[in-house]
Amino acid sequence: MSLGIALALLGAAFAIGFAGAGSAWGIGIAGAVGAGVLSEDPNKFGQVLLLQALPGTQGIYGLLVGFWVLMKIGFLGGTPVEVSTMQGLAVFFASLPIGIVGFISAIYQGKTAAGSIALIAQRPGETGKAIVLPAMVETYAVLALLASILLLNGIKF
Amino acid sequence: MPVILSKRVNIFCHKNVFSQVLDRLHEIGIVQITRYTEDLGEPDHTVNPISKKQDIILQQVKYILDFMSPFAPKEGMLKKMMEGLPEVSKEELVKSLESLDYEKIYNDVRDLNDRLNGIRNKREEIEIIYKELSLFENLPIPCEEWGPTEKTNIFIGSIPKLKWPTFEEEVKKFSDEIHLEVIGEDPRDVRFYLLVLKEKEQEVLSILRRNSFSQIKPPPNYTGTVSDVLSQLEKTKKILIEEEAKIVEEVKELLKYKDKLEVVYDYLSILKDRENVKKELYWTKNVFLIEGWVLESNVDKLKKELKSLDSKIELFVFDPPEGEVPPVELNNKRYAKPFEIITKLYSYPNHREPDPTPFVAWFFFVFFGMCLTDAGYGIVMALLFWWAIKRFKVGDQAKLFFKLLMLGGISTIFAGALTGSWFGNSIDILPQGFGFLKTIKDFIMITDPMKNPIPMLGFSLLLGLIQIFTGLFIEFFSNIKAGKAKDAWMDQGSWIFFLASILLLIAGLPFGKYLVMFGALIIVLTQGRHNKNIIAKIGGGILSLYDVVGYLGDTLSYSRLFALGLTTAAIAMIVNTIMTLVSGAPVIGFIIGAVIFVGGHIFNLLINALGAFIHSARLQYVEFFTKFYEGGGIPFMPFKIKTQYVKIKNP
Repeated sequence: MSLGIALALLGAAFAIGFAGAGSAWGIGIAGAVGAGVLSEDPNKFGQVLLLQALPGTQGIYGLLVGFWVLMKIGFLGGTPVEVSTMQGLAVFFASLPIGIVGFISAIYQGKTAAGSIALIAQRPGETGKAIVLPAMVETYAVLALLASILLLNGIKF
Repeated sequence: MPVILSKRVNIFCHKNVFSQVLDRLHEIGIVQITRYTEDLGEPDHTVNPISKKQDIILQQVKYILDFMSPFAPKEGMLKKMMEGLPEVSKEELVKSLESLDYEKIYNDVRDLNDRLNGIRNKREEIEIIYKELSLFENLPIPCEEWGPTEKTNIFIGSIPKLKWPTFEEEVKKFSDEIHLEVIGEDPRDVRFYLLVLKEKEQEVLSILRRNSFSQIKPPPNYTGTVSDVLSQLEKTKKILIEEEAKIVEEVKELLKYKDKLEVVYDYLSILKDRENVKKELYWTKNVFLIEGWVLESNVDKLKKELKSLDSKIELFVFDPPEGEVPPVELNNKRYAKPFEIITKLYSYPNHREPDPTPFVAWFFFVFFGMCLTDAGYGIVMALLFWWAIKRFKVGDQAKLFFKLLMLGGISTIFAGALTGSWFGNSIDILPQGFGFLKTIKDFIMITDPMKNPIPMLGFSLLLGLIQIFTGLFIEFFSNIKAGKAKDAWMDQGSWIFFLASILLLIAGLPFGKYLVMFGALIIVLTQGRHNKNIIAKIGGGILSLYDVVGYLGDTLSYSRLFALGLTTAAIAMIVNTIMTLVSGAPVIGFIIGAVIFVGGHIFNLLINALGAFIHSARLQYVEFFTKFYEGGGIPFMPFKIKTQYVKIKNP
């Protein structure tokens, strides 16, 4: 196995690992608050679950980028391609945006979602607004995902 | 689509027909009753139309039902939804109260509850004693002798194992005055009994206390050695369990009344609602006044209903006075009706603006499909919710929600087929002989985002531009309609021109550069016009050029459509890849493969359908509604019959 392949795998692992860890963190924050609200009013389960799930997308974006990398270097079905050290490094760099932004944005989205859960505990009629606030944070994860995909797409083997 | 506004309505009626009027209003459910106008003063004190008679019965029935519910056989959610609530006619409802001796049932239930609680408390007590005593099972001293004698005292209990060595050391000096015997130990504690001569009792006791001694007390009302007591406790426990089972049988016997009690409960809550609403009304000695709102579309119906009741009822319908905000109701064509859910989730439109649902309907429909982008998942969703609509007897709101998801499924079929995703890449990995499916798939497919993401990404951004421009145009025309043509041209017209010119420049129009410059000039000249002096005007204008970044961000935000769609396809592909790897194993490989295929795709569908819903909604709220929608409307909430357990048959 060449160093190029190893670097590309590092990129995939970085994207999946950090974005996923951030999502786990964020969902944990939102879930802790959600459980408190449910102890008062179990009927809000649907809304609370919805809000708790919001920081979960970063993990999926990370998985997607990781998967994309694996596909590109032929690790998932298909024939493995030759990856030079420079190409591998480029793949690693391309994985950075979703890894970093995914990690941080998921945590902050989790905090916002926790706040939104507290909001619907007080005002159940405001679910729409409660969903919008955490979704604002996610925008940057989407942009990072986009950046990672476009960067990856630009690397030619 | 304009919203339906409501009008103020005042209904005057004589006390003889009042209760008939109120009943009819409750049944037709088209009037929102509000509190009487303060200027009228207080209602006549000498008349009290509010009855509290049903409150006590309602509480009793609720008590019975709450008590029974843990004993009732559990019904599956699916079965419940398919059967729906039992239907009851109006006559049955009224008669339900007479046909049942609820007072006797209530007393029986109280009695059963007391007995049950008594037994449960006793059992708990015994459990605690049993647990404690069982640790001292091989103690040779009978319980009745666990006290002081003439010359000695006895301590029975335990000391934490950590402290045991120090304790042993400290009591060594009393070895002539005490008898210490260990009767058992576990990793945490050492259990023992200690006989001591009375003169040394205090000293020994203080050593014991220093070492965290916890003493056990002799069980009350029991005699014999510990193992005797334990077997006695066991026997008592058995008897209690038998008694409890008997009581549970008696409760189950009462369960046959449950259905009838539920009807009574609903009937009484309807009556209670009717009494409660009277607190909002105004009355004199002979006349009642009901104030409220009625939707414009229902005014004639209300008039007809009340006139048919009694010709002397006076009804005034008029526009709300200045400063009062009329509640609104949405009114969409059949195709857009399910999408009202999305609008309502954000906010009702206020009474001055149109309902954005028809626009939301189209955009949400397309966006949802693009976020999910898998024809297989689309088929599953569409069929599942089509079936649910056909078979489930649920409320109208739930049906609309099912319809929304069914439409989402249909949209997903289109999006998936056009991008060639059927349960991910499952068609590509089918064994030979199914090649024709691949041919069909490839024939329908117009772009493969897995191989070349750019066309889908571009299409997502294009959809975004369309929605943003739609939003600007809606506001443009509603400003014109409101007679604010100047604002329409300066606030929306200028931006529409400026943004369009930027797009033309990107598209490579030769003189695009000048169009953009001209557009920017318009923005600078118009956007600062609310400021007072000329410098602030121009400064504000230049500053607002920065808003172009906002529009850029809004547009890029639509890239999530592409990203989420790709996510679904990618995870589906991962599921398929794992399945192929596993199903190569002999014999059980096929079974595990099937489990992974079904489970993996269900997971992917669930998580991505949730994402598709949230993000399609978010794009409406953040990117679309901000361009024109105010919201903040008050929903129309009529005074109508609400039931929990039964559905009232329409005559």
